[in-house]
Amino acid sequence: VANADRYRFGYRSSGRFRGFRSGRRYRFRRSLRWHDGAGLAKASGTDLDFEWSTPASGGYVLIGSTTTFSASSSVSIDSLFDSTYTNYKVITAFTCSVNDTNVFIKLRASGSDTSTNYVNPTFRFNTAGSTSEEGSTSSWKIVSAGSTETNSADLTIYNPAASKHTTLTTMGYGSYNPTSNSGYGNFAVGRQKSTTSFDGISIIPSGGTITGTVQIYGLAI
Amino acid sequence: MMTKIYVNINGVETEAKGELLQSILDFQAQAELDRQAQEAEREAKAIAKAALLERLGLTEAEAALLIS
Repeated sequence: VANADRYRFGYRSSGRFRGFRSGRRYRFRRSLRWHDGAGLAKASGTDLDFEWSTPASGGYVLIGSTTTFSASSSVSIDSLFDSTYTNYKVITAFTCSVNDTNVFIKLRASGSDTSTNYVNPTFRFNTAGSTSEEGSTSSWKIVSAGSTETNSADLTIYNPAASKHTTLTTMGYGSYNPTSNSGYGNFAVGRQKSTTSFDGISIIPSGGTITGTVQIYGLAI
Repeated sequence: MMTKIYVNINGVETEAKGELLQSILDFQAQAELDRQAQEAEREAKAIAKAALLERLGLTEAEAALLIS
């Protein structure tokens, strides 16, 4: 709310609202009324020109905080998914300890990785025109990663907390093997065929360790 | 000497032991086998493609033009 933080508000015994600014007292003309889900917003540059309005809905809502990991063979985060949001965005960036590393995502339930029932059509490509299709049944592959440059992936996970199939769309870039100049893009989609209600994820490299960050956002409607 | 494996669980770095350690080692071993198989398949395809282009008397750019 623009400029609103300059004001302090309090209740008078009469139920009226009052505000203070720079030691001066301002009285609001309207009696305080209950505005469910609304907030006071500054309507113009004029002092005291506030009005009740509904906060903007929708957007990305960061769940918890950014998770930082260093030299980890696996990164697991629990208690992410519940009925608050239907779909989630995962943003991760990391380096690997070794080149030629594929990096995967697994869904978690009750503190354990789920390693079966994945469907994972994946398309890998580079600027030299090399393309290939690959995937996994024990996880979702998200990127072909390397050690010297940052590898990144942007995933959307649909309905993980519901007791029905969970699906995935993702795109990522990985340096894979910088010495042979083979950075790769990855497009992947996926389905988890079980009807488990999942509440977390693990990020796992095919070898070595990963160092970086991951943020998980709930997609508010 | 076996290198220790560390995992990050809910923001806490910890050494993997027991079942967790074994599951990570098993997964990484299988993932690396899959990766090597995919690389071998890609290399075999590239060799077969080069051989076919030579037999047809086409360069890679000409072949790309044909299918564009």
